[in-house]
Amino acid sequence: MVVRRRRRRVFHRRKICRFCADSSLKIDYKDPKTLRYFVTERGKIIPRRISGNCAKHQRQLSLAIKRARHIALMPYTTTTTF
Amino acid sequence: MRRYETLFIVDPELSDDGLKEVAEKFKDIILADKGHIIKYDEWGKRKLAYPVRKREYGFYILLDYCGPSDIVNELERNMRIDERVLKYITVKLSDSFDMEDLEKMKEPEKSAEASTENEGTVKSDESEGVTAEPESTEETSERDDPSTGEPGEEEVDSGQ
Repeated sequence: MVVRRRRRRVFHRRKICRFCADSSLKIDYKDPKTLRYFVTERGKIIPRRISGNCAKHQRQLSLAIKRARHIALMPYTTTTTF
Repeated sequence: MRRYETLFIVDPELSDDGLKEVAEKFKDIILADKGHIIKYDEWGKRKLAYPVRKREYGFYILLDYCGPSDIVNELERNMRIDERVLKYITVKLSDSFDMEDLEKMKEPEKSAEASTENEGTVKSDESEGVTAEPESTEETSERDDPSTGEPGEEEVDSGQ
Protein backbone atom coordinates (compact mmCIF):
# COMPACT_ATOMS: atom_id res chain seq x y z
CA MET A 1 0.00 0.00 0.00
CA VAL A 2 2.68 2.37 1.05
CA VAL A 3 4.78 1.57 -1.99
CA ARG A 4 1.84 2.22 -4.30
CA ARG A 5 1.20 5.58 -2.73
CA ARG A 6 4.78 6.54 -3.19
CA ARG A 7 4.67 5.63 -6.88
CA ARG A 8 1.60 7.72 -7.45
CA ARG A 9 3.32 10.66 -5.91
CA VAL A 10 6.21 10.31 -8.38
CA PHE A 11 3.93 10.93 -11.32
CA HIS A 12 2.69 14.19 -9.89
CA ARG A 13 5.37 16.21 -11.58
CA ARG A 14 4.77 19.92 -11.65
CA LYS A 15 4.56 21.06 -15.25
CA ILE A 16 5.70 24.44 -16.34
CA CYS A 17 4.39 26.39 -19.29
CA ARG A 18 7.31 26.51 -21.68
CA PHE A 19 6.28 29.86 -23.12
CA CYS A 20 5.96 31.47 -19.70
CA ALA A 21 9.33 30.14 -18.61
CA ASP A 22 11.12 31.29 -21.74
CA SER A 23 9.90 34.61 -23.05
CA SER A 24 12.18 34.38 -26.09
CA LEU A 25 10.12 31.45 -27.33
CA LYS A 26 7.40 32.95 -29.52
CA ILE A 27 4.30 31.31 -30.89
CA ASP A 28 4.19 31.89 -34.62
CA TYR A 29 2.26 29.97 -37.23
CA LYS A 30 5.13 30.53 -39.68
CA ASP A 31 7.49 28.54 -37.50
CA PRO A 32 6.43 24.90 -37.72
CA LYS A 33 9.70 23.76 -36.14
CA THR A 34 8.62 25.04 -32.73
CA LEU A 35 4.98 24.06 -33.15
CA ARG A 36 6.00 20.52 -33.97
CA TYR A 37 6.83 19.87 -30.32
CA PHE A 38 3.20 20.43 -29.40
CA VAL A 39 1.60 17.95 -31.76
CA THR A 40 1.67 14.17 -31.75
CA GLU A 41 3.34 12.11 -34.45
CA ARG A 42 -0.01 11.97 -36.13
CA GLY A 43 -0.32 15.73 -36.10
CA LYS A 44 -2.89 16.08 -33.32
CA ILE A 45 -2.52 18.94 -30.88
CA ILE A 46 -1.25 17.73 -27.51
CA PRO A 47 -3.69 18.65 -24.73
CA ARG A 48 -2.61 21.12 -22.12
CA ARG A 49 -2.97 18.63 -19.30
CA ILE A 50 -0.10 16.72 -20.87
CA SER A 51 2.07 19.46 -22.33
CA GLY A 52 1.72 21.61 -19.21
CA ASN A 53 1.09 24.87 -21.07
CA CYS A 54 -0.92 27.61 -19.43
CA ALA A 55 -4.37 28.39 -20.82
CA LYS A 56 -3.31 31.62 -22.45
CA HIS A 57 -0.45 30.11 -24.36
CA GLN A 58 -2.35 26.96 -25.25
CA ARG A 59 -4.99 29.11 -26.90
CA GLN A 60 -2.39 30.98 -28.91
CA LEU A 61 -0.66 27.74 -29.74
CA SER A 62 -3.74 25.95 -31.02
CA LEU A 63 -4.57 28.95 -33.21
CA ALA A 64 -1.04 28.98 -34.60
CA ILE A 65 -1.14 25.25 -35.32
CA LYS A 66 -4.46 25.61 -37.10
CA ARG A 67 -3.11 28.43 -39.22
CA ALA A 68 0.01 26.44 -40.04
CA ARG A 69 -2.20 23.55 -41.11
CA HIS A 70 -4.23 25.78 -43.37
CA ILE A 71 -1.16 27.00 -45.24
CA ALA A 72 0.26 23.45 -45.53
CA LEU A 73 3.19 24.01 -43.20
CA MET A 74 1.85 21.32 -40.87
CA PRO A 75 -0.26 18.28 -41.62
CA TYR A 76 -3.89 17.94 -40.63
CA THR A 77 -3.19 14.26 -40.22
CA THR A 78 -0.57 11.79 -41.33
CA THR A 79 0.19 8.12 -41.01
CA THR A 80 3.92 8.56 -41.42
CA THR A 81 6.12 10.48 -39.04
CA PHE A 82 6.99 13.92 -40.29
CA MET B 1 -4.35 51.94 -41.56
CA ARG B 2 -3.79 48.41 -40.50
CA ARG B 3 -0.89 46.11 -40.82
CA TYR B 4 -1.36 42.70 -42.40
CA GLU B 5 0.73 39.87 -43.59
CA THR B 6 -0.18 37.46 -46.33
CA LEU B 7 1.57 34.18 -46.85
CA PHE B 8 0.75 32.47 -50.12
CA ILE B 9 1.86 29.44 -52.04
CA VAL B 10 2.59 29.74 -55.75
CA ASP B 11 2.76 26.83 -58.16
CA PRO B 12 6.42 25.74 -58.09
CA GLU B 13 6.30 24.42 -61.65
CA LEU B 14 6.30 27.98 -62.97
CA SER B 15 9.48 29.41 -64.44
CA ASP B 16 11.45 32.04 -62.52
CA ASP B 17 9.90 34.75 -64.68
CA GLY B 18 6.47 33.36 -63.98
CA LEU B 19 7.07 33.49 -60.23
CA LYS B 20 8.31 37.05 -60.44
CA GLU B 21 5.29 38.02 -62.49
CA VAL B 22 2.92 36.62 -59.85
CA ALA B 23 4.77 38.40 -57.05
CA GLU B 24 4.78 41.68 -58.96
CA LYS B 25 1.08 41.35 -59.69
CA PHE B 26 0.16 41.17 -56.03
CA LYS B 27 2.62 43.86 -55.06
CA ASP B 28 0.98 46.13 -57.63
CA ILE B 29 -2.47 45.37 -56.21
CA ILE B 30 -1.29 46.51 -52.78
CA LEU B 31 0.32 49.65 -54.13
CA ALA B 32 -2.73 50.45 -56.26
CA ASP B 33 -4.96 50.35 -53.16
CA LYS B 34 -2.89 52.89 -51.27
CA GLY B 35 -0.99 50.25 -49.36
CA HIS B 36 2.67 50.09 -48.54
CA ILE B 37 4.84 47.01 -48.62
CA ILE B 38 6.89 46.68 -45.45
CA LYS B 39 8.58 43.43 -46.23
CA TYR B 40 8.66 41.04 -49.15
CA ASP B 41 10.15 37.66 -48.42
CA GLU B 42 10.55 34.66 -50.70
CA TRP B 43 10.80 31.50 -48.66
CA GLY B 44 11.49 29.46 -51.75
CA LYS B 45 10.37 25.99 -52.70
CA ARG B 46 9.24 23.89 -49.76
CA LYS B 47 7.60 20.55 -49.35
CA LEU B 48 3.94 20.86 -48.48
CA ALA B 49 2.64 19.00 -45.44
CA TYR B 50 -0.08 17.55 -47.65
CA PRO B 51 -0.63 17.68 -51.41
CA VAL B 52 -2.51 20.70 -52.70
CA ARG B 53 -3.99 20.39 -56.17
CA LYS B 54 -1.89 17.27 -56.64
CA ARG B 55 1.33 19.15 -55.99
CA GLU B 56 3.80 18.03 -53.36
CA TYR B 57 5.88 21.20 -53.38
CA GLY B 58 5.03 24.87 -53.19
CA PHE B 59 6.80 28.18 -53.55
CA TYR B 60 6.11 30.26 -50.42
CA ILE B 61 5.99 34.05 -50.55
CA LEU B 62 5.41 36.30 -47.54
CA LEU B 63 4.08 39.82 -47.96
CA ASP B 64 4.09 42.18 -45.01
CA TYR B 65 2.14 45.34 -45.76
CA CYS B 66 -0.06 48.03 -44.34
CA GLY B 67 -3.08 49.76 -45.77
CA PRO B 68 -6.84 50.23 -45.51
CA SER B 69 -8.94 47.16 -44.73
CA ASP B 70 -10.39 46.86 -48.28
CA ILE B 71 -6.95 45.88 -49.43
CA VAL B 72 -7.33 42.38 -48.02
CA ASN B 73 -10.59 41.78 -49.85
CA GLU B 74 -9.09 42.90 -53.13
CA LEU B 75 -5.92 40.89 -52.65
CA GLU B 76 -7.71 37.71 -51.64
CA ARG B 77 -10.23 38.10 -54.46
CA ASN B 78 -7.36 38.17 -56.95
CA MET B 79 -5.67 35.23 -55.31
CA ARG B 80 -8.82 33.16 -55.61
CA ILE B 81 -9.05 33.97 -59.32
CA ASP B 82 -5.38 33.36 -60.04
CA GLU B 83 -4.79 29.67 -60.71
CA ARG B 84 -1.08 29.96 -60.04
CA VAL B 85 -1.78 30.62 -56.35
CA LEU B 86 -2.40 27.34 -54.53
CA LYS B 87 -3.20 28.68 -51.06
CA TYR B 88 -3.07 31.91 -49.10
CA ILE B 89 -3.54 33.15 -45.55
CA THR B 90 -3.86 36.72 -44.32
CA VAL B 91 -3.24 37.68 -40.73
CA LYS B 92 -3.78 41.07 -39.15
CA LEU B 93 -0.65 42.10 -37.29
CA SER B 94 -1.83 45.35 -35.76
CA ASP B 95 -4.96 47.49 -35.76
CA SER B 96 -3.36 50.89 -36.05
CA PHE B 97 -0.38 51.55 -38.17
CA ASP B 98 0.68 55.04 -39.27
CA MET B 99 3.13 56.30 -41.80
CA GLU B 100 5.33 57.40 -38.92
CA ASP B 101 5.55 53.84 -37.67
CA LEU B 102 6.45 52.76 -41.16
CA GLU B 103 9.30 55.23 -41.41
CA LYS B 104 10.49 54.34 -37.95
CA MET B 105 10.51 50.69 -38.86
CA LYS B 106 12.28 51.05 -42.16
CA GLU B 107 15.58 52.19 -40.70
CA PRO B 108 15.95 50.01 -37.59
CA GLU B 109 14.48 46.98 -39.29
CA LYS B 110 17.36 46.63 -41.69
CA SER B 111 19.83 46.38 -38.84
CA ALA B 112 17.41 44.49 -36.62
CA GLU B 113 16.55 41.95 -39.26
CA ALA B 114 19.98 40.41 -39.17
CA SER B 115 19.84 40.06 -35.41
CA THR B 116 16.32 38.65 -35.37
CA GLU B 117 17.32 36.06 -37.93
CA ASN B 118 20.09 34.96 -35.64
CA GLU B 119 17.65 34.85 -32.76
CA GLY B 120 15.41 32.64 -34.83
CA THR B 121 18.08 30.01 -35.13
CA VAL B 122 18.89 30.30 -31.46
CA LYS B 123 15.22 29.88 -30.64
CA SER B 124 14.98 26.56 -32.39
CA ASP B 125 18.06 25.32 -30.58
CA GLU B 126 16.67 26.43 -27.26
CA SER B 127 13.35 24.77 -27.85
CA GLU B 128 15.16 21.54 -28.59
CA GLY B 129 16.98 21.89 -25.32
CA VAL B 130 13.72 22.57 -23.53
CA THR B 131 12.06 19.47 -24.91
CA ALA B 132 15.00 17.37 -23.87
CA GLU B 133 14.78 18.71 -20.35
CA PRO B 134 11.52 17.19 -19.09
CA GLU B 135 13.01 13.71 -19.45
CA SER B 136 15.97 14.62 -17.33
CA THR B 137 13.80 16.39 -14.74
CA GLU B 138 11.61 13.32 -14.62
CA GLU B 139 14.58 11.24 -13.60
CA THR B 140 15.68 13.68 -10.96
CA SER B 141 12.18 14.00 -9.56
CA GLU B 142 11.98 10.23 -9.31
CA ARG B 143 15.21 10.23 -7.43
CA ASP B 144 14.18 13.07 -5.21
CA ASP B 145 10.74 11.82 -4.37
CA PRO B 146 11.67 8.70 -2.39
CA SER B 147 13.53 10.91 0.05
CA THR B 148 10.51 13.19 0.36
CA GLY B 149 8.27 10.14 0.40
CA GLU B 150 9.91 8.69 3.47
CA PRO B 151 8.64 11.29 5.92
CA GLY B 152 5.23 10.74 4.30
CA GLU B 153 5.51 7.07 5.14
CA GLU B 154 6.14 7.86 8.74
CA GLU B 155 3.13 10.08 8.82
CA VAL B 156 1.04 7.27 7.41
CA ASP B 157 2.38 4.90 10.05
CA SER B 158 1.70 7.29 12.86
CA GLY B 159 -1.77 7.88 11.46
CA GLN B 160 -2.52 4.18 11.48
